[in-house]
Amino acid sequence: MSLKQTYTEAELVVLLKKRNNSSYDYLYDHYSGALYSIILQIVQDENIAADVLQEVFVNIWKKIDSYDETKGRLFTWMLNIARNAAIDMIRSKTYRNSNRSVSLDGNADNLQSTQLQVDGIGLRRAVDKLKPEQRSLIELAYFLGYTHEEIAEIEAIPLGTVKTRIRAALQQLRTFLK
Amino acid sequence: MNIQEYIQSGIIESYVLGLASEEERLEFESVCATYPEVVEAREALELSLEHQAVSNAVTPPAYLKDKIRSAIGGQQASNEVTTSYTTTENDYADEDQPLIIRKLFSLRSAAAAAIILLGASTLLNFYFYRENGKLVKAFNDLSVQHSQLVNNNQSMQAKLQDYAANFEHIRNPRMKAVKLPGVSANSSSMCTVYWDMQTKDVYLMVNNLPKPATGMQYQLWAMVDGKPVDAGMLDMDKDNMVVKMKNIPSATAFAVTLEKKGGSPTPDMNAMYVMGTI
Repeated sequence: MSLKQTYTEAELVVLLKKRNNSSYDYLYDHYSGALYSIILQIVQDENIAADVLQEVFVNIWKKIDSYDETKGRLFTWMLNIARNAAIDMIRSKTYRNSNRSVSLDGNADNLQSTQLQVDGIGLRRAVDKLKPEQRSLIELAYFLGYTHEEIAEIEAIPLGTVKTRIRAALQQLRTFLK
Repeated sequence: MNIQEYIQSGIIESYVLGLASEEERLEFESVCATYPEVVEAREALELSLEHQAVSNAVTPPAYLKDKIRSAIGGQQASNEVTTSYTTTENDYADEDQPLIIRKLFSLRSAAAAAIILLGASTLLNFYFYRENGKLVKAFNDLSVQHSQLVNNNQSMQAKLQDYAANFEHIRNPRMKAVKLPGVSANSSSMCTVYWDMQTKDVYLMVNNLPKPATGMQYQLWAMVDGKPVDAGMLDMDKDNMVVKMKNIPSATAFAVTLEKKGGSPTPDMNAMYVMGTI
């Protein structure tokens, strides 16, 4: 593997679409850590996160032809694949039957006690700076993958309020990312 | 559309983080096609997100890289099989040109028609999908409104029942009404005591009393044998028309003073608001 070589995103996409072998090395070396981190923040277990990461790379490899650069950057596309795969995992039977299952009764306060080594890494660190009520909405929406409708039911607040509060939390979050 | 407002509405963050609804996503993509400044803002967010994610990377276990490579290798092998299959078909086409070409033309027009039909059907599906989305949203909004109205109605009914019960109470012939006019500086204050002559239960109606300062509460006193006896605390938060106080077997007068929250053993005579003799 030649780490010295750097590709622009457009070049990398072309190589990936050709299923070029060295493009896998490049992709893995540059992005596996970032993707593994977001998966870990959701599934909170290293062994499960490794399985999900494998599934994510296989999916990226399989679906690269459907990546549309007009809709966003390659990393954003991969990040969403990773998040979706991780959320599918925490909703799966295997995960729920394991002791790793996060209490899904919707009480976001419980999440505090179940956060493990993932405290303070990545996006979660930015999320942790939010006000508690905003943080629990982002926890439910982003890290647990609940729809706005489900959140309205869990938090017993109107759907419109959920939407405005999430939007406000996201705007706040953006200032922490800068 | 005010594009700056749109950019700052949080939609970009929703879209990039995968939290936008299908409807919002489609709208955002069409806005991006028209407004380059939206695309610019989206890319700026994507870059800061990417930068943040890469600088917070957690290295996965070392064995994974090769394990995934072989999993992907399996995918590639199956791709190669499909490719070689297509090649065989093409070879066959070359051998039998005239017949095949005629067949190919009719196949082509059939394929073209099929593609057009598929396109039309996709558009229609898309249209119905959006219409359905709008209807579902309208339905949800109405359901929310409906449940709000039902709740309002229920709380109004409960209130009305309270009032009716209070009123029934006061109207009872056994009730003795004692007017408690305001005293000295509080001449505009006024309360009425309703005293059930049979059960000796005492009810207090506030006609006019200033809102107590925080930490303070009104206390009702009954004068029994020339001494003030505590007749209960007045809870003004509950907005009741008539509040049930303590049971007082006999009294010559009633008075209300302002005391610290929870009440005092003896009344503060300087903080007397209303008083009435029987």
